[in-house]
Amino acid sequence: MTVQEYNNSVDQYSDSVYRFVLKLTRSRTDADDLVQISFEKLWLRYESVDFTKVKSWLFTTSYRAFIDSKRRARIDYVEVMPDGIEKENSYQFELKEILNKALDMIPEIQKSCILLRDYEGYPYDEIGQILDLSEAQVKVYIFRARTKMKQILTENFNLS
Amino acid sequence: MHNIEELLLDYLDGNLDKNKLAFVERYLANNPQMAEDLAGLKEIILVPNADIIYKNKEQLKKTKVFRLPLYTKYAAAAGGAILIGLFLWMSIDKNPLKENYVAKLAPKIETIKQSNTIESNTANITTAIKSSEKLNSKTVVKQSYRETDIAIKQITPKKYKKRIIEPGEEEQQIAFENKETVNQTPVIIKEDILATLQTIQLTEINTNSFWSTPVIINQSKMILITEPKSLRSRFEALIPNELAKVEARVKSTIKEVGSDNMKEKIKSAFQFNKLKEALVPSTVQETITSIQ
Repeated sequence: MTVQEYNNSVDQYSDSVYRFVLKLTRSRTDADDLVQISFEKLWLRYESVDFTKVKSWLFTTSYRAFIDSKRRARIDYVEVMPDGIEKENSYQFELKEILNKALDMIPEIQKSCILLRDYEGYPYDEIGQILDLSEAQVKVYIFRARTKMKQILTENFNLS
Repeated sequence: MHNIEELLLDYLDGNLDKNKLAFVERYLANNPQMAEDLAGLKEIILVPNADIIYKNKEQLKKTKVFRLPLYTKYAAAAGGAILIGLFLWMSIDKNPLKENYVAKLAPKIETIKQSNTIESNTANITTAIKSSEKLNSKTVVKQSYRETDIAIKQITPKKYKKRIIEPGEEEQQIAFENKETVNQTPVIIKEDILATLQTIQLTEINTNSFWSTPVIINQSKMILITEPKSLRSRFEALIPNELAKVEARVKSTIKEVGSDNMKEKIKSAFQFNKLKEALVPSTVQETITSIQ
């Protein structure tokens, strides 16, 4: 990867990495730090990273950085309202709120799986590589995450 | 063997082959509650909020920098290590015998400094030399010489160098000269006398220690260390022929009695107390005593 490609990866992937870690940490400050850490690590070895695989590399690195920071600081993440959320009509806003809460109620590994699947569209095997899981484990976690979220939405909105 | 949840997710995604699809459909038919839970699950999909963006992109971007190849860093580190090692190597005395001696005999040298008796000094040095018995005889001779040499360096003032006389041969100066200009003032003369007396005392120690070890004397050239040449003339001026007599007596004694009986003979040959009394005025004697 060249310097130009590194800078391109900042433009293309920093937002998605930021959204991913923001959902995990629920803290803008911590998410900022994790994105910065991930790209600094990338910069240190950008020459050895293939640009076609840099997105997965960034998600893998940011997820590990999140796990490391959580272990190190025993961070008890608190939920914050991310910037940029405009209050739409009350139903949509409430639905997003419920979804966010439902997402926060599922185990972290399930959350990581479903985020990578739904936000980034990763196939199951790549999610397994990023999170160091088998493909079967990824499918089970995602199935359980969706089931749990449906249950929460049903309880709050009488969806069926 | 697949977990049913894994198969159900593939069922929702439409990724099952016929056999697995039939299996899942049979399973759902037998589990209506699961079939009910599955309904609408496909619609539970998270959508990212595009409004959430990372604002510090420019801080992450880099400009092209010149990077040295990795091997050059290793080469620089190795070069630095070599230079440091070279510096340390040059700054340390490379004589392993000397280092060995210093480590081994440092306490003994201190003992020698504090002792005024010939016997105790002789015993100390002799013990030290005998401790090197593991070496072959030739090496023992060299090491013994160096050990004695170092013992003298430790006690003799630095500005005095020593020369070496081999009894029975032509007197020859091997390695040392007094490079410093000797001041002719009376005070300096007194210091010179004091230093010389210390040197002579060590000479005696050296002599006794050498010749008390038969193995060594058989292999050595019977090296005798004496006082600095520049001071020799002063002694001779103060006490004509005294030093020459001592040396002559040593040489003749070696020839007469051989090595086995040299120790006692040499002791009597060096009557340093008398020499000391003749050389040093009473006022300086007190100073010498206080220093010793």
